[in-house]
Amino acid sequence: MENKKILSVKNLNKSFGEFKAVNNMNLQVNQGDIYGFLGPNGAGKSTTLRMILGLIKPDSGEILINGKSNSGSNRNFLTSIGALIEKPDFYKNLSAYDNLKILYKMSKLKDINRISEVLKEVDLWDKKNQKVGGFSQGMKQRLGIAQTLIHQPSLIILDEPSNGLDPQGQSDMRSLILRINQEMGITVIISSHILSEIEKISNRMVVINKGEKIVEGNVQELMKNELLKVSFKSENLDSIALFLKKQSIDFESSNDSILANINEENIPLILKKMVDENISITEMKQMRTLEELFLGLTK
Amino acid sequence: MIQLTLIELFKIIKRPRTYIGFLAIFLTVGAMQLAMFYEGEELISIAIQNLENDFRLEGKIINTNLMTYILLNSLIIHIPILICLVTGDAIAGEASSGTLRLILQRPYTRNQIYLAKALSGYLYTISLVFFLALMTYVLGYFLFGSGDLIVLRRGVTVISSNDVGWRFFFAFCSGTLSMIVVASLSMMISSFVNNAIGPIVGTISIIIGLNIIFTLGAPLFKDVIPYIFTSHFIKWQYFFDFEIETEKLKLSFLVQLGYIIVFNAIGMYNFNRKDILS
Repeated sequence: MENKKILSVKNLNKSFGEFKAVNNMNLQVNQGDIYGFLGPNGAGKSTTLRMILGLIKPDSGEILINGKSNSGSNRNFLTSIGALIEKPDFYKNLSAYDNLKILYKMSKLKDINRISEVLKEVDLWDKKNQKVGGFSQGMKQRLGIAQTLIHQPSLIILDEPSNGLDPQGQSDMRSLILRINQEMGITVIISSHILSEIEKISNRMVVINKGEKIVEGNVQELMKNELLKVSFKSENLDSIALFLKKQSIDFESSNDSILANINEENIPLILKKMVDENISITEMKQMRTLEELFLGLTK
Repeated sequence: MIQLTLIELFKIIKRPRTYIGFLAIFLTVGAMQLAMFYEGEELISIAIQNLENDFRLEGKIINTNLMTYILLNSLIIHIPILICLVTGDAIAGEASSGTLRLILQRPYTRNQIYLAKALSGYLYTISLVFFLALMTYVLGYFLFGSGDLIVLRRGVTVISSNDVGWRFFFAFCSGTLSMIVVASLSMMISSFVNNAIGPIVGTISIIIGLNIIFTLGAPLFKDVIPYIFTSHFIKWQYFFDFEIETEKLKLSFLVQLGYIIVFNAIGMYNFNRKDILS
């Protein structure tokens, strides 16, 4: 069965003067995805996300949200999207509750209890009357998530949601995103420069560079099809080097380890052969990360 | 639209800078009234020295009506500055704090958001002018009591205390309209920039610049002066003439209304085209 498309971006273009920020971008996000949006700084991620939200007008192209175009004066498409772009922003002189109340009213919601519900969902109920100006970065991020959730959207866009958070905060944010996706059934688009984070939580992703799409697809498949760097440590590195040479596998040697390029699917087979040939290994580590994939693709 | 305007009013009410205007009016009007209470007789005697050569003036010259008339002149520069503090911040302030992109992600058109901001800014403007009226008249009445109003404009006009109420009402209405022009101008500038200082400095610079042109009355600008909006900031004074020039007041009303429409149209056009990059 074909996945239901929640967002389609077709031939999207945007220039700022001479600078081409987004060049013929095509994307597809399916319902239920956690869709990773990767690219180096200045790649056009934020510009694309802002165009999806109608904050920036594209020069050409089409954006369909739930099959409906986001251009024109009808802004009702925004009822199905929640977004946190770059950093959470609030009326700092207002309390967390009042900030959400403004968005509650602007979203034309009817049940005032929704504010307390969403504050509880992000663990900020105890702080509801505190002015946001005094919030920590982690609390601000959580309140930012609450802003995106208040109108119960079917798609949320999170631009660098872990920015500025400590490792515990990043882990909490990851858990929250997974909960939003799995328990609430909300599709998530997440852009992040913390690439391991995308690797951990996304099921599909796109890599963009210089305003252009480089690759899009299932995260596991993208990882699988690429050669992985596998590090071997042994008391007898020469025997490993000889074995890899016989198998026609490229490798690099250093004083205490060998780094080999091996297709992920072949790793079990290679290991079995090494065991069969009595080659001792003290440590084997898969070095391939999404970061390497990302860097390789955006070179 | 009403809901949006109420939200914008809520934001204005909750912002500390909103109260700077009220505090400034309270302090300046209070200070001036007290100064006049203690030294007013001396100051007024200097001002009407020439008059006393030709007329015999009896009664209480310094009264709440005269004080209100004098303080209405603050509409030329002082009150516009206070208005800009809030209306100039409406779009640019939200752009710099990042909340503009937050509200633009809700299902309202940019025109609706702009108009709601403009309407709430106008309500703030009206409340500020109303507070000025309240402060000048009530405090003046408490300190000086009532009396006939002597107006030194194109000669001497003495208006009976029974005849000034409606004149002040229309004078304040005229002043409010002028201040709404100021609010519209600062809103328009606010739509072009991403920091709140720009609209405040920009609006005040324009008002001061145009006031200089108006005051100099240079022949070069003679034909355009009636159509410069700052020249209408003192049209409220026409309500204190014996024979009120209704045609001139109608023209003034239309010119100012025209400015309000043009400023808002430009502001909305720009706001609609603006890419939100902040």
